[in-house]
This record gives sequence, structure tokens and C-alpha cells, in this order.
Amino acid sequence: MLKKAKLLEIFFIVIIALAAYLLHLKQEFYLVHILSLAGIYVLLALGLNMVIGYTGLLDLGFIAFYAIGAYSAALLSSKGFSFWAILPISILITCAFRFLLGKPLMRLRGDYLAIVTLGFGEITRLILNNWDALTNGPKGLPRVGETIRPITLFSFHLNSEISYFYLILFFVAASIFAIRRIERSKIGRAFVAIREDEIAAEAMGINTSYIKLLSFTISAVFAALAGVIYAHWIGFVSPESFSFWESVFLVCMVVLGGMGNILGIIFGVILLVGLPEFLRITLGGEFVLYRMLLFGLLMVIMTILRPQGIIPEKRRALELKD
Amino acid sequence: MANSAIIFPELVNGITLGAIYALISLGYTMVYGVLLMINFAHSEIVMAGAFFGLFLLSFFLKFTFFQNNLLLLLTSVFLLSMCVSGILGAAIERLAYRPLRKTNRLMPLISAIGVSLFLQNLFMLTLSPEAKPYPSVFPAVNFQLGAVTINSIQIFIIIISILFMVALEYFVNRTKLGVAIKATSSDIETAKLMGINTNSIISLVFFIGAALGGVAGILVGMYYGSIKYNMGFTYGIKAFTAAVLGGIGNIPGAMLGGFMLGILESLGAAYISSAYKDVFAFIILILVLIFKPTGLLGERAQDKC
Amino acid sequence: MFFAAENISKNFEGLKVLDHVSLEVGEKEILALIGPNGAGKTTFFNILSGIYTPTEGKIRFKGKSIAGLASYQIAERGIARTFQNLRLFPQMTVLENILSGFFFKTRYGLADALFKTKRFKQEEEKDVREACEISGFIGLKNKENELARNLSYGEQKKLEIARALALDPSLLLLDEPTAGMNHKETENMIDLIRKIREGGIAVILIEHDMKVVMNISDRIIVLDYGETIAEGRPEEIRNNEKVIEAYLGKRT
Repeated sequence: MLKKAKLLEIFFIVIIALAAYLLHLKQEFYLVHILSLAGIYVLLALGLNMVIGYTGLLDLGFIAFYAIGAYSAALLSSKGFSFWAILPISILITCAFRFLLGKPLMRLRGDYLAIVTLGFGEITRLILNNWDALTNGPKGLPRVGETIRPITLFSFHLNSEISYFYLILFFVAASIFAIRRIERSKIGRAFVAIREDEIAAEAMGINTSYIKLLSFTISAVFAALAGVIYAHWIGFVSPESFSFWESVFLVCMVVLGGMGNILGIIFGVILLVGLPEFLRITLGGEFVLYRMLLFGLLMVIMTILRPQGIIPEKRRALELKD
Repeated sequence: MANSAIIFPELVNGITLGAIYALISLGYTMVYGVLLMINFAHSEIVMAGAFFGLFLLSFFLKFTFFQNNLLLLLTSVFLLSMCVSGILGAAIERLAYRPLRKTNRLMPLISAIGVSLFLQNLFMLTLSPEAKPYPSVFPAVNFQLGAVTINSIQIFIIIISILFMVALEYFVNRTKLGVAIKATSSDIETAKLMGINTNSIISLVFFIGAALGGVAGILVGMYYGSIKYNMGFTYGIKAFTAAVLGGIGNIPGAMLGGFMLGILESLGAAYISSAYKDVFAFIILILVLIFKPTGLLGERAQDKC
Repeated sequence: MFFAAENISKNFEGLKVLDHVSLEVGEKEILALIGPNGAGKTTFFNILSGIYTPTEGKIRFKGKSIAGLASYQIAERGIARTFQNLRLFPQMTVLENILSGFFFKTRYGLADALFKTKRFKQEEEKDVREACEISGFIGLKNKENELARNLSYGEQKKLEIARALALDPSLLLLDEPTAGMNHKETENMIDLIRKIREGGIAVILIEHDMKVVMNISDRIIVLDYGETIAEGRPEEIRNNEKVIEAYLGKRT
């Protein structure tokens, strides 16, 4: 039981050590970039895992809320808001969307819910693509002549790749910390109970529609967080980053890594974001083309041979009180 | 003001698209009927079918014999590509879904998405990431029926679709195998007890659904004159919407839903906004699922616990 | 009356599964619901626990109407149930299964959990202590941290009752508690049900094992084809001709 916690700790120590090491090798721009990207995906996958892994709701439109986070950040930033003001506002906006869209869906059966979320995801993308007045259409944001202001922290400008990596790392760590607290509360247990057997959960006095909506809404915090950071880091957002296949890519990470297991999720992200980059470097650019083909195949094989993922969920033993 | 000069071409276009949606939606609805599963990869069958049709057409058109005999050309192309699509559909079920039959309902869906991703990329990598032109088999001649203008390709698509739908209705209701499909669809356990080999029936359902999806793929190619590796997704989601609209699991419902969606979408594109054309289908899908999940003709009761 | 269901009817797609069934239960009473397969017993349970809404009929519990309430609201009001085919949370531990029943009583929110407030710690500690008490009472001591799916069948049956008891119910609905159990396990279950009743909980049970039914019930109601065909004390039911007919299928 202690093992898992320890493993997680070791993992973080390694990451932090690695980051410190990178600090001395500032010229490793590309590696830092990939790690930051992986960090963004970890945030997204952690959020999606709350819905899929803990609560058992298959969400195929999660990327839409990442988009809402990123777009709201880009819009607010060009209006002069700072990152630290944008962060809570964007999270609030994204969660509000998520809540309102989620509310009527909570009675739907699992596979129907999946298709409806897919629908919302596509509608969002189509709106981003077509509502020129707000989103500047396919050209993306910011518009010509506008910029996304860099993040400042104590009069310190974050403008290097490594500084963004540290920022992302900080938010990933904070997210994991928060998710673990939720996981180990009655709310986290209610999520899992719903996943395990919704009718039984309801019969145990759990208002399942409400709790599902809660899980659905909280998950958007992480999507928004990822979106806001992404917009500031890359300095540009456009609809093509938020396609249905991005949502599928995320689902793939969660399923592959291990639904319901934070460590598994991180592993899934590293596997899907990191490995292709590694193989690209070792095997050449050709490989990238086969990436998605391989992921599709992996999804099928994993669901059949190891549906619990590479690192399966492990329930924590509670300290007994006699 | 509804101007007939605009409404008729749009209506004809809508009915043509509707016929295609209806044909595809049969695959979703039949599979859902027997397995209660959304066959997400069905959209890639449509794409694959379009490519199979393309190969066959290009191949047969090399022979003057076929060039001079349109009926024989079309019959061979359709039948052969239906077989290949059908086998692909049944093979997907056998390999990617059957091992998951006893797990929870999300696993087959995830596997299906994996299949979809795989097939799309397979076709992109092995064939082309670009759109491929579709050979035109016969010229698009315009016909004037009163105020309605309709071209020969539209007529062909509508006739072919209706022909296959009628054939399917006949098969399901009037033949022994068809009745076995219906029995499996209404209660798989009871069907098993009655001595029906439900595994073969499920394979058959996937075969038929995929064969019809493949036909739809060819029709799309003929209608628009080009096909692409990622064309399946949009048709798939619209056909699924049609199936839900008509009442999932219900064959006549899928046909009704297909035509309705095609018409609604074309009129919406003409009168509201063409940029948001694809949004209409999604909105219809969401509204139907929320407010009337049994669809127009569906009578499937809620799952019992 | 403590609990009364009056004239409950339920139709499924035009098929009448229950036809004006009524029953009353007194405090601390054990009532058995018996009848051949397909008589509508489980449907009746599903109505009492709010999974189905009755087509017709009233349900009153502790003087208030509960018909039409959601399943979780009925659970909150003190009616707990088990299921015919186990419906545990298999990937959760025994303790977590029991804790799920405390969900609505536990007084802390999301913020308390995030910041691990004093209230959070107190409430969690209290819940775990009470859950351990229940597991001890039910006979699952030292299995608390095992996954539910790793328990034996008999233990899973017990766990389902433990989880129901966590709701602190005053009425417990047991759907075939001894199904699939051997002689010894059945004896234990009978003792357990008695103990539960002594704790002040009324019990309605669906049961096929006549020895169990005759042994522990205060009263028995017999359903056949959705209708009540007999009601009375065990000795009255034992010799009721209609009941014997229903079970042996001697209808003309």
C-alpha cells in the first residue's frame, strides 16, 4: 500500500531532478518543448480520467473544453488581462459551459453520452471555425496586430521554454495533489461507485446525476488550465488543434495508461507523446506518419488483452479504526 | 419567402443525401439491434467501400467490354465491392468486438474507435492523403420534371438506395435467415435457446451492414466525383444521427431518419447558414438523444436492471 | 402504519407485471414475499426502492408518501436494499463498499476534502470507525481492505447487507439473501437477519427456500402472476391450497 505512494514520490523526484539537469542544458530546447507538451497532455488526461477513469463516463468531446479555455485566454489576453487574472476567469467560463452542457446529459446511457459529447466537441470546433467576429475563424487568435501577453511572475517575465516547463510542472504537481485529495474523499469514492454500478450507487443514497455532473464539471478545471497555459506558451490558438481526433488521442492515453490510476495516466501520456518523438529521432521522420495507425491498433489490442491499462487502478487501503 | 427555384434543387439534393444516409444508417441500426453497441468503425467501412469501388471501376474500365456495357459494369462493381466491404465488416466484428462481448459497454466502443483510427490511417498511408477523383461512369444529364430539375446521378443514387432498402426489408421479414436476425435482435439469449447460431447471425448482420455501407461509399464517390481517406467520419455521424432519429434498432426508422436528415440539412444549409451545415445534424442528434431517445419509430423500452 | 404500499400496479409495455398488490410492515417485523418465478417479486422491490415508478398505487413510510421519489431519496429516508444478483462495487474494497452508504450523511464538502480540514479528518475517521463496526457485526472482520470481487460468494452476500446497513435503515429489503448458499451459510444468514431485526430494523425478504421463510418470517405474502394470492402467518400459508397450487402448477 505504501508502495504506490512511494513509487509516485520517486517518480516526481526523478522528474524534478531531470528538470534541474535540463536547466544546465538550456540548448536542449526541443526536449524541453516536448516535455512541456507532455505536461499539457498530462493535465488534460488527468481531467479526462476523472470522467472516464473514476466515474466511468466516456467523454469523446473533452478537447472542446480545452479549446474554450485556450480561446477565452487568447481573447482576454488581447484585451489586456494578465495570466493570473485570466486563469480563474477562464476556468470559471469553461466550467460554466461544461456544467450547462452536461446538465441535460446525465440521464443518458454510457454510449449515448459518448456520442453526444462527440457532437458537442464537433459543434465547438465548427463554431470556432466559422464565427469570425469572435474567433477569427480558421486563421486563429490573436489577430494581426494583437498578441498574447507573456506571463509575468513577481516582475519576472516567463519567456524561455524552460520557464514554461517549470510553470507547467508546477500546475501538473498541483493538479495531482488536488486530484488525490478528491480521490480519497467520499466524493472520489462516489465517482468510483457510480462507475462500478450506477443503480447500486443510487440505492446507497448517492444522487448519481448530481455526482456525475460534479465529476463532469470538475474535470473541466483541468481542461481550462491546460488551455490557458497552452495559449500563453504557444502564443497562438486555432481550431485545427481541437479536432475530434485529439479527443480520441486523449482517450487513448487514459485507456492505455490505466483508467483510474494517476501514475498510469502519466505513463500513458509519456508513451503516446514521448515515445513517438523518441522514435522519430531514432528512426527518422517517416515514423510520425505511422503513429496514429499504431495508436489505433494499440487501442484495440489493449481493450481486448489488458482493459485495465498498463498500470491498473489500485484501491488504497484505509487505516482501520477499531 | 420560400422560393421554389431554390427549394427544389435543395430538396432534390437533400433526398439524394438522405438516401445515402439511410443506406449507411442501416448498418448502425442493425448492429445496435443485435449487440446494443455503436459500431463506430462503420464510417470507415463507407470510406473503404468507396475506395474498393474506385479500384474496381478503374480496373473494369480498362476493358472495352465493360466500357460498352454499363449495366454489367455497375453490377459487377457493386456486387464485388459489397462482398469486400461485407467481409471487412464481419472481420472487424470477429477480431475487435467479439472478444469484448462480455465486458462493459464502453470497451467495445473504445475498441471501435481504435479500429476507426487504424483504418483511416491505413488508407491514408497506403493510398493517398489527398482526395482521389472518382471516374464518372455515365454523364450527368439533367431532367426536368415539372418545376423540379434532377440529374441522372441523383436518380441513380435514389433508385439504388431504395432498391437495397426494399431488398433488406424483404430479406429480414420474409426469409428464414432474416427472421433469425429479428429473433436475435429482440432477445439474444432466447434466440440461442431456440437453436439459432447467434454468432453467425451477428457476423451476418455485420456483413450486410458493411456491404450496404460500402455501396453508400461508392454512391458518395459518384455524387461528388472525389473521395478521401477521412470522408467516413462526417457520413458516419450523420447516418448515426439518422438511425437515432428514426429509432435505433428499427430498420424502417433508419430509412425515415436518413431521408428526414438529408432534407432538413439541405434546407438548413440553404435557408439558415451553409457554414453551419454540419452543425444541424449534431444538434438534431443531441436533441433527439436528450428528449426522445427512442426516436420516431423506436419502441425499445429502457434497459431493465 | 410504519410502512404501507397500497394497490401497487406496474405495467411493462402493456404487460401487467403487478396488479393491485398491497402490503404493510410493522416496526421490527419480518415479512416474507414468496411466489413462483416471474410472480413480480423483484419488480415489487424495484418499486419500493424507487428504481421503477409504479403505474398506480401509493407508498407510505413513517407517515409520508414516498412513491415517485428517486432511488437515492428513498435510501436517505431509511429504506435500504440488496439485489438478487449481487450488485457490489467489485473494484472497491470492502470498507469502501460500506463507506458508500455513509455518503449523504457525511458532513463535508469538496473544499474540506481539498484542504484536508479538521472537519474532513473527523468525519472520515468517524465513518471508517463505523464502517469497521458494521464489518465486524456482519462477520467480515479483517477483510476490510480486500477488494469486494476477491471475496467468496457468501462473503459478497454479507457485504451487500453490510453496505445496506450503512444507510442506517429502519426497513431493509433483502432479495433472496440465501440463494446459492450451503446449509451452514444459510443458518448463519438466518441468525444475521434475526440479529438485524433485534437491532430495530424491519425486514421484507424475497426468498425461495421455504425452510428459511417458515423459520424466520412473522408474516408471509404470496404473489402469483402479479397478484396477491395469500397472506398470513407461516402456519396459515403452509396449508393454503392456493399457495400449494401455485407452486405445484396444478391449475385448471
